[in-house]
This record gives sequence, structure tokens and C-alpha cells, in this order.
Amino acid sequence: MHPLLRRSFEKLLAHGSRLRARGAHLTRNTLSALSGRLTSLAAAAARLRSGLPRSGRGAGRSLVTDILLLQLASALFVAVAAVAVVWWATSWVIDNNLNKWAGQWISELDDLGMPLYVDGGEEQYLRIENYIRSFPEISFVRYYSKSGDVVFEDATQHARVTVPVLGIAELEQLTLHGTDQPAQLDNSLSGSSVVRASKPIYTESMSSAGLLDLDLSVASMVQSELVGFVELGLDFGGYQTHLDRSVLTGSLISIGVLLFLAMVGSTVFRRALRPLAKLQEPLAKLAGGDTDFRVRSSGHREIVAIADALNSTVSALHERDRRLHRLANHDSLTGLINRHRFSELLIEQLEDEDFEHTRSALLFIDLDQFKYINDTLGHAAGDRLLIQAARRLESTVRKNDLVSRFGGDEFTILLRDLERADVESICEALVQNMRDHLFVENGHSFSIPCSIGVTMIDSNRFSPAELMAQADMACHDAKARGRNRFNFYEASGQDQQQMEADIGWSQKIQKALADDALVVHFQPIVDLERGEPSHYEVLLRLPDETGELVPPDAFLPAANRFGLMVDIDRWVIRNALERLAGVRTRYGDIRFTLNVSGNIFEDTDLLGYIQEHLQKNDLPPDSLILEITEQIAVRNMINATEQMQELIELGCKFAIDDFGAGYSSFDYLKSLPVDYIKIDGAFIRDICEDVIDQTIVRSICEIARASGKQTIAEYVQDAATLDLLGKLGVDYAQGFHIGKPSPRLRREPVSLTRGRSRKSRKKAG
Amino acid sequence: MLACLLLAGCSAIPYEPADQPVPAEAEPPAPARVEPPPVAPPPPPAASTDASRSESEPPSVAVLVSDSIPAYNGIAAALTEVGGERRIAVFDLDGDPAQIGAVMEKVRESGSDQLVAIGLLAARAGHEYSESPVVFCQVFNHQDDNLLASGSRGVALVPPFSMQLEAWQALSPQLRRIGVITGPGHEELIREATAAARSAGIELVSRVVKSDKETLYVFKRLVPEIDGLWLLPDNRILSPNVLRELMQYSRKHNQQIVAFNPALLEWGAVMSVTATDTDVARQVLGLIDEPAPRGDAKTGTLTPLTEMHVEVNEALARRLGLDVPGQAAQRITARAD
Repeated sequence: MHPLLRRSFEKLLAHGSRLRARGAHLTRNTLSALSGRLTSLAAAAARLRSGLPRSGRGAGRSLVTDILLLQLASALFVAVAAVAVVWWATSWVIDNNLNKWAGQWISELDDLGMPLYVDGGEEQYLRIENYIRSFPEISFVRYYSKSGDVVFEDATQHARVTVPVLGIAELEQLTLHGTDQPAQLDNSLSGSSVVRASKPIYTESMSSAGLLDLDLSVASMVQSELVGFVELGLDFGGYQTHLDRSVLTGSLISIGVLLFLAMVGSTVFRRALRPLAKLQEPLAKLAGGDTDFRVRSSGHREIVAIADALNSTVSALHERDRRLHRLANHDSLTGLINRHRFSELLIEQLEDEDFEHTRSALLFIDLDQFKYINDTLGHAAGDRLLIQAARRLESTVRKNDLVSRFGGDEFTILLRDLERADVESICEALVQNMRDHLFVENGHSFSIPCSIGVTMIDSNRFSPAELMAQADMACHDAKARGRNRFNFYEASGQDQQQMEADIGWSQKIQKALADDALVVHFQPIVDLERGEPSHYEVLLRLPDETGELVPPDAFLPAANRFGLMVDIDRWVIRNALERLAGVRTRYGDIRFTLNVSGNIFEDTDLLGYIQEHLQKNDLPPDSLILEITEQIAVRNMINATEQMQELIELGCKFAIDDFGAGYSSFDYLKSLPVDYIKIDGAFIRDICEDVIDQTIVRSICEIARASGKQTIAEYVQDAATLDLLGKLGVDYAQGFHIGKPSPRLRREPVSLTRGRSRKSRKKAG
Repeated sequence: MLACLLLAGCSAIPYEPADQPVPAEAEPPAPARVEPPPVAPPPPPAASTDASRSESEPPSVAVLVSDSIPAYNGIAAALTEVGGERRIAVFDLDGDPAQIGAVMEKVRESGSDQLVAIGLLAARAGHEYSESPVVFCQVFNHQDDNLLASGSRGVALVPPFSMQLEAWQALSPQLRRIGVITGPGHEELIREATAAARSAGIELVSRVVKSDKETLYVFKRLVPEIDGLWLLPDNRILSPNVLRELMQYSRKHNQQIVAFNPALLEWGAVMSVTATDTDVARQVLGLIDEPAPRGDAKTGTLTPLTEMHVEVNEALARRLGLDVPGQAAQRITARAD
């Protein structure tokens, strides 16, 4: 498999593993990330395709070209090496053999020339001439007398004797090596390819006694007599030329064969890799998010393996995609579609609705007894109640109606294509069915009455958010009228005014988000051991048209109603972390506590978002503390704890805000994975005078300490309270006595023995 | 009449005289001599020319040996053996010309009547320094030193070619052309050999060369023309290298070579013909007993030998297609290469 493709597959599979680990928390954002991975895979496929011969376009060389070039280079190297070795070996063999031949020729010419020193004669000359002409390597021969005179000289027709005659001194040098030495070779003749071989000519004779007492197997004493010299010119250039020509011819043939093989190899490779190029199309589909296809696997074993692997990947992605979509659009507890999906479908309904002929209705349902059951019987019982309520609602409405879990104990229903009377009938059925249903837990039975707010959809004048707000207000009216009933939204003057106000706030918030105009203030939290601020609570403010800062209590309900809380939470996180990076650079180990809404736990990419901004600002995760109210944590118990667990694994800290203000239970202290307990101001305000408050605070501190948590006391207004809190075991304190919320961080230390009394205006200003 | 001689330790062709065949089973275990009629009848013992010597006193003979080699020592021993009552004293030059003066002084001091010189060095010394008549043997190129000058006589080194040719023809009846290569000065020998060959129906092709290499060269050129080479012991034109190459060339070209030394059989000669020591000794003693030549008498002529020893390389002979007599086959095979 091509490394590029393999790496992309590995990345994709690794990402798939991470997705599996995260399970139910995958949302549209995760799908987006997955899509990004697939896009990179497709890009890799495209790059791969660009390397394949069929495309012929794009950057990068062809894989086939690379392989062929490598093979060609290897073959050329081997061929050149082989030619060089053959050339060297052949040259060596030729030189060696010719040297031997030279020795043999000069020895034979030694014998052949002997008569020249006796009587000469034409016949002898002819014999010598015939001899040297029978060997084209011999270019000339010279015989010298022992006094150095040239006795005879002959050259072949094609050779001209240009080698100078040897002088007597040079000839006498030849005799210094003894009588049995081979011919002396001299290839240093300048400007000539001729090698000169020369040798003295000796005759030998024996003593008469030696001849009679003959033993040829042993060396005998002989008498040698120098009679002359023979010189032989050898021209091996013909051999070398022939060899060079042969090597050249062989090389050309080899190159031709190599080129032919390269062309054949190219064709074979291209044909073999064609199925690989065809993988580009399914990979492009995959990158486009299409997982509903199969790759045809054929061809070579390796290609089939790649295609099979791709099919497996596509199948896994298809299944994962399906699960992700389901997880992203459904409530994991009840299986109903979630708030986000319901909003999408509501938008589609509004866009598709032909209001001339059809009408619809939006129902907002709140379970009247949920909080009671959840607080008294525990989360598990609350969960089972929600599941049964969901089933009950589903079974009451028609199949083409939409039922969603809107959040907590709130459900929404879209009844399609109905008149008001039909809606009323269904609402009556819903109220009746829910009231009649008995929820049995621990031997006790409970009915689960609900309040239903209804708004009719007969035009597209209202946005989905406005419709939801209408149904919500109608639900509140139903509750106000005694619960266990349904109530149609009627655009009364007050409701209209409230709704217009909410719409105004939502528009201001959206504009502030778009303009990045929201403001944060910081209120110090002092460490009661050191007396110095170690934490700051980040508090949100919204500037109005005059520049006045509006506290969050004024605009957060509208933001919550119009689904803007997640965007606000993200804005706060992003801006707070940017500020925190600067603060830590200046003051060291400072931590920020941020108030986040319960809706943020519907943001399944919360972990990625926080992680991204922590890394971007180079901040340690434990410098961020997220504050949630216990109501929020309880209402989003399942999602909240899992989201919190992921952030805790990342290193972030959590604090429960306003502990004790609601249905607080010490059980939460054990079940919620928080690090800080912020004691509600109601227990602090009069603690110096109220012994019960002191007891409660002391108990909270002891339990928190026992469970490894730290405590923060809010609403500290004076030094006496501060001192008392220290004595009761509170770890941190916050309040006007310590420091008011301010756009700038204040670093004044606090005296733990005396101080001023201040009124806490936390959040509410 | 030729003789066939078989020596102990050697194998030889049983030479079969034409008129007196030797039975096949008559292989002599020990040297046996067949006395052929001498070419020249042995002269009666000549009276001493020394007037001071009494009639009953046997003549004394000094034997001067050139070197201590078997070819010389054997003859010296044979002279003692066949010398009868003659007083024979042997002197050895050990191959060293520097000893000639001292040794010749001893010879003079011995008061010998005659000097027998064995080998060229001794012959030269006798010719130069002896006051007594000199008879030399085992010398081939006597003409180079003019040894047959007045007062000196000699015995041939090799048996007469006529004898050799008869033995050769017995081994190789198809023999028609024979080559011989000599150095200068052997015209008489060649003339006699040519005559003997002609009378045997064979053509003798002779060449005169001056060096060993020329010998080889001439031989190679003669090979296509001849059936065999008669190799003479002319040390001037032979060297060990040339002999080896000549023998090798002859084997390669299936050429018969009749050599002067049995040592050449294993190198490629098909037959060797040598003189016997006793024959040489008898011929030497015969010359001693003859009156000293006066004037030109006997000058320039060697006394021929009457016996010869023949050995055959049977394996080579068979390879050459020659029919080797069966009696000697086993022994010859044992010596073959």
C-alpha cells in the first residue's frame, strides 16, 4: 500500500477509535471533524492518484515512474559494472596472453633467426617474413649482431617501423639478466601502441664428457655464447580496438534491451496499478461524506486487500455515521429526538408548511412531579420516570407527530396538520394519559401529571424560537393555573410585552456576541490561609445602548429561552482564558472560576473547545474552574457528570455554585465530581448571629474536606464573618468585603483579623 | 660381421647375424662376447722401441683419464683387464685443465712407454705434452685439435655406421632416408656413412650446423624429409635444452632417433648404439702394439670399433609401429618412460 494512503487510513482509523471512546457524545461538531479527516483522506487519495499514470496531472512523480527509474538505475548500474568488469578482465586476459604469446613468438624467432648468424640467405629471410606475417600482432622484427649492428629487419605491410633501433648499451643491458630470462617487454614507447619485446640470442654447447655422461633430468653445465639479439614489435592495438568496439556494441545492445524492458515494465506496472487508481473515486465519495457504497475488489492480491480494507473502513464509517447521527439528534436517556433536532425539524416544518391548507401546533410539556421524585427517590428513579413519560407521550400522539425531550423534565411535541379542536383533543388525551399513568417506585405509586403549553402554528410570522417562547409561556400559565392541564397561548398584552422584551434581549445578545461587545468583570476569591486572592470569579455583563452594564439576571432568561446560552458560555470561556493567560504572566498561579449554564452540557464538543483555547493560550487545565449550580447539575445529571468527567480527565476543575440554595443533598457531594463547594450566601449573610448557619457551614466544610473538596464562602460582607469562616474551616472567601467585581484584577491582600463590611452584589450586581 | 651384445643390467636387441641366427631362448644372463672378425686384424705384439728395456720386460702403459665418469673409467678398467702382462698405470685429470702439468709430470715420472688418453682433455694433454706415443679414445671432434697429427692415433668413439645401420634396419625395415647433423670437420665420417647407407639401400641426408639452435632448426626442417635421425655425439652443436626439445619434437612427429647414449632413450630416442668398453680397450691395445707410425702412415684415420651395444625403447618403438624382437621386450619395457 502506498505510504500516503496507508498513513491516511491509519489516521482515519485512529480517529475512529477516539470516536468510539467518546461514544454518545458525538455531535455535529465531531462529524465535522470526521468529515475533515475524510477530506484529508480524499486529498491523500488525490495525491496518490496524481502519482498514478492514468491521471497524468498534478504535482509529484508517478509511482510507476519511480519504480521503473529505480529498476532502470539498478539495471544500468549492474550493466555498467558488468561491462567494466568484462572490459577489465578481457583486457587483462588479452595483455596476459599476448605477453605469453610474445614470449613464445620471440623464442621461435630466436630459433628461426639463428641461420642469419651463420650464412643468412634469401630463403631464411622469406621464412622470417612469412612467420611474422602469419601473426598480425607482430609489427616488426629486428635481429642484431652481438656488436649491435642490425643484421635483419622486417615489418608487416600495415606497419611501418617507427621504433628506433636499440643501441649497443641497451642491448648489453639485456644480457645482464642471464641466459634463461624471458623476453624483456617495453610498452613505454612514446606515441606508439607498439610493445617492444627484446631478447639476446645465445647458443649453447656441452663438454664432450658431459655428452657421454648425459643426464637430461638434471641441470648440466653448458657453455653459452652470445651471438646476437632479436627485437620484436607487438601491436595489440587491434585487439584493444576490437575489444572497445565489442564493449561498445554490447553496451548499446544492453541499453536497448533495458529500454525495451523498461517500456514493457511500464506497461505491466501501469496495468497492475490501474485498479489502485480506480480507488480514487470511492475515496472521493468517502471524503464527501458518502459511506453508502462498496468498492469493487479485483485485480492483484495487494489491490484486493486494499479494496477490502477500504470496504471495511467504509462499512465501519457508515455504521459509525449512522450512530453518530442518532447520538447527535436523540436524547440518550429516552431515545426521543433532542432539542436541537426538534428545532431543525420545526424550522423545516415552518418552511414547508402550506398555511393556506394546514395548521400545526407546538406543545411544551413540563412534568409537574419530577423534581419531587428526583429529589426524594434519587436520580435513577427520576431517569425511569422520564423514560416512562416519554413512552407515554409517544403512544398518545400520532406517528407523524414529533416528540422530543427538550431538556430536564421538559418535552416538546409538534402536532402536524391539525385544527385547534383536534389539538385540544390530543392535549386532553395527553393530560389524561399522563395523569392516569402510575409510576411505581420502592413500593409507592405516583401519578405523573404534566402541564402543557400550546401554541398554534398558522403562519410563518414567528420564528421557531418565538414559537417555543409562546409555548413556554403558555406552559407557565398552565402551571400557574394549577398544573395538570393544558393551556393555549393567547397573545395577551402582557405576554406580548414579555415576549417582545425577550426578543429584544435576544437581539441585543446576538448583536453583542457578533460584535464581541460582552464584558467580563473579575471578583477576587481570597485564600483564607494566606489572605491573598488566589482565584477570581468571572462575571458577565451586557452593555446596553447607553453603555450601562446590565447584570446577567436581566438577559440570561431571554438567552435561555432563545437558545443562546451555549454561545454565551463559549464566549465567556474564550475571553476569560485569553485574559487569564495575561494575568498568569503577570501574577503567577491565578485561577479563574466561570459560571456556565446547564445548556453547555448539550454542547458535546465542549471538551474540544476548552482544550483548544487552553492550548492556544498555553494555560494549564487546572487554571480553569467551571461553576455550575446544583440545579443544573441535577437536571442534566447524566450528561453533566460525563462531560465533567472528560474535563476533569483533561485537568479542569469544577465548583458547585450556590450549594444549599435548592434541593441540596449531601449525597450530591459524593456523586458529583467537583473540587470546590461554593456555599450559598444565604448561609453566610447572618452567620455571625445565626448558630444554625454556623453549624450548617461547619458541616458542609467537614463533609467537603472528608471527600477531598474545598469550600468557598460567598457573600462575605465584613471582617467578622471572614474571621468566623476561617474558624469554621472554610478554605476560600468571596464577597464585597474582599473585593467587588471589577473590569480589572485587584490584588489587594485581605487582613484576616479585621476588615470592612461590604454588601455582596455578586451576579445581581 | 656385426655382433649383438647384451650387457648385464641392460636390455638390447638380440642382434641376429645373417648367417648365424641366435636362438630365441639363448638369452645370455651375463655379458657374452661374440667375437666378430676384426675390421683390421690385431697386429702381433710389437717389439719395444726402447733399447734400454730388456726383451722380457713387458711394456708399460700410462692411461690418462680426462674425468672420472663411467664412460672413461670403464675403458680404463677394461684396459687393465685385457692388457695382459702390460704394466698399466692410470692417471686422472678430474676434468680440470689446470692439473694437466702436474699429472703429465707424474706420467713422465712413471716412465711409461705408451700413453693412452681417454677423453678430449686427456687427448689434448697427451698431444701437447707427451713424449711417448699417444693413443686416444672417446673423442669425437679430434679434428678441432688436430689430434691425429704425427705420433698420435685414435680409436673411434662410435661404432661404424654400417653396423649401426644394420641394427637399425633390423628394428625398422622400412627405413629409407636417414638424416645426420654434424658440426664442421666430419666430412670423412659423413662420406663413409653415406657410402654405407647407399650400400644398404638407404639415403643419408647430412647437414652441417654450427650451433645447438641451428641443430634444432635444421632437424625440424629435416623431419618431413627423413624417416629417422642418426644423432652423433658432437658436443659443439648439442645442448641439454636442444636435446630435450629435439627429442620432444621427434616424439611429436613420430620420428625415429638413434642416439649415442642410452640416457636419451627415455627422452625420445628409439634406439641407442654405444661402443663396448672392452672393444675400445682392445682397439686401443691393438694400436699400442702396432709400431709407431712413421711419416704419414695411419695419420688422420681412426681405428674403427668392432662391437656395439644396442638398446631399444620398446614402448616408443611400438608406438612408432616397429616390430621389437620379443626377447628383449620385457626389459626394454622396464626401462621405457
